[in-house]
Amino acid sequence: MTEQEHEATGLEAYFDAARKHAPPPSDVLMARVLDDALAAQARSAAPLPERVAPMNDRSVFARVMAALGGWPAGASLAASALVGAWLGAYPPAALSILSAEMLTGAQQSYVVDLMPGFEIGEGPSGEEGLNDV
Amino acid sequence: MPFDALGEASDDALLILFAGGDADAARILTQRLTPRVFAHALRLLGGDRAEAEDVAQEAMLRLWRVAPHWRQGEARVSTWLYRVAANLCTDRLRKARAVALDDVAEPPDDTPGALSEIEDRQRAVALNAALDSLPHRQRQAVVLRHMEGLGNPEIAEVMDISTEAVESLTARGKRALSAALFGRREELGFGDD
Repeated sequence: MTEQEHEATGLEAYFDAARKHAPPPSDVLMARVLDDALAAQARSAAPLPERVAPMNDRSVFARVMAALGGWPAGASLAASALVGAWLGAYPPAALSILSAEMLTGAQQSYVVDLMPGFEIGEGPSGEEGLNDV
Repeated sequence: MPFDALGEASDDALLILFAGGDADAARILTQRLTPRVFAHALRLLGGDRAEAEDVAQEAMLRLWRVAPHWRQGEARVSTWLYRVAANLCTDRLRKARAVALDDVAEPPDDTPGALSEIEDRQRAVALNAALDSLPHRQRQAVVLRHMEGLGNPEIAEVMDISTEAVESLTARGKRALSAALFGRREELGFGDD
């Protein structure tokens, strides 16, 4: 087909005609589409249900905290750890003396026999039948 | 914002209002976009009105759902909608329930008398029949370019192809249309040219 023949068909006139006579949508379709639109708006406006994170979604830290008893237990544990670290770094004077004596053996220890009449293995005299082997 | 003023707003702006729960924005978007997406689907589906209505409703429904997540400036609403409609039409055409355009009843002529009006209608019907004979991608490109009035870059975005491919498709499509319509010139009022 030549260019002249292209022009002869007057394609633009066909396109104009088709645009002018574009079939309109039915009222039923327009109503259906609008119903969908309003329903979608109503859905997105509804409050979402509160979401409780399942165990699998929680972090390892959160799960460990839960196993320890939650935040109160975690706070106690952290406070104890801090006190321990503080005592290690800056011990009170009394504690320093005690620990130094224990470590160096400067202080002798004594054994005090509170029941000198009692012999282990023999038991009190005159009572037979106890601890017999 | 008053209803009249909303009518002047862009599709993007209306979609933001829609996502915010504005019922007037829903009405205007419905009135503005549904006829376009329906006409487009009807042309791509070879005049199957029932299928075109389903496609138009489904495409609009997807627009309502995506509205709260719409990213401004990434794509034009109409471009996005044409693409969704075209994909839905392609799916339906694959299921191959083709209806010959001649079987589709013409809308009743409410304004008889004017010869040019009758010729116009005949030309529209003839063009639709010729369009229906084109390969699907050629038809889509020609319809988007010459019926919907989109530019080549926008058509390329809708069809996910290069602008060169769009030009090639529309050129081949128009050649095929000319060939199909050439034999009907006199019948369609071009006899004196």
